[in-house]
Amino acid sequence: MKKVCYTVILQSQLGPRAGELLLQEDEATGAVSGELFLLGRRNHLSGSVLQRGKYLISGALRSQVDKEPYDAIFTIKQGRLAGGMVTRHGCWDLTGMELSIAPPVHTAT
Amino acid sequence: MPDMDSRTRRALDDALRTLLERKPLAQIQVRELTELCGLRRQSFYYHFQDVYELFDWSLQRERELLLRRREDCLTWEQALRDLLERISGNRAYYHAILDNQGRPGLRAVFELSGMLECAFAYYWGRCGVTPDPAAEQMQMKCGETVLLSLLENWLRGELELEPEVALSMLSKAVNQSIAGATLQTLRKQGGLWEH
Repeated sequence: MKKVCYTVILQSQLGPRAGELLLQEDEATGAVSGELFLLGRRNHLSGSVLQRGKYLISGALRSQVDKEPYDAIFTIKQGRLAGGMVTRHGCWDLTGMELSIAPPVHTAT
Repeated sequence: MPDMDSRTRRALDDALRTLLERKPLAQIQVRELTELCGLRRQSFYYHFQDVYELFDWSLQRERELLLRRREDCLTWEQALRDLLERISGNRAYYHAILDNQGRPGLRAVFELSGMLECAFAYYWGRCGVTPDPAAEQMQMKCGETVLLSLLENWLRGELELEPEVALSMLSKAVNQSIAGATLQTLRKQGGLWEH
């Protein structure tokens, strides 16, 4: 079971919303499960690997007032995630980066 | 002791909200507030000049809370539903805003322009509307006025609608406008045949 965490940004109707995506991939079956942490809440997700590096996941985003069902399709290449999330309100850009791949840190010498 | 200061201010604000459930702002006395908080009268004057200054501080706090809650929303419908729920649960408080500061008070607390700016930009982009900053500014202003007036009427009980019904009507109107704008864009671009 491959388990990777990503920081993600969703370009919602009201602006960017940051969160974390935990993807668990069963390499034998191609099934995907995990959690999307957004709007301060953990949301379970499930899906599948469409082809190498390309994923389709489904779930619902819980907010203070309701639950927004979604399907998201994205690719992951060299630790970078890019794709879209389809909700009843339209398709929103979803981008991200693997958590272990930290941006270069500049330290004072 | 900044923590202590802010705790005292918050306690006084909570007391003010409680008292507003029972009487109008003009009838609330400092003594009642301090008694409710278990504070000495002098403590009140250390932080605020009078009840009105406390009310102004409270409005600032409410505005910040509403903005934080909006950060937890993805769509204007969610943001508006959240606002309606907040108003429903604190009707006396919002009545006090309206009674003492009128619509400008509501405008300042709701801070709808930020939400509308995002939502309008989102829809304009998707409808393929040609950018026109002057017209956009005007539409934003109209949108804010319509929404404020709707919220004011709803708060006063002149619009007898459940939040869900009001929201679904607004949503329908917005969706029809989007469909109209998209059709117009298609027509301009020659994507539609006229019959």
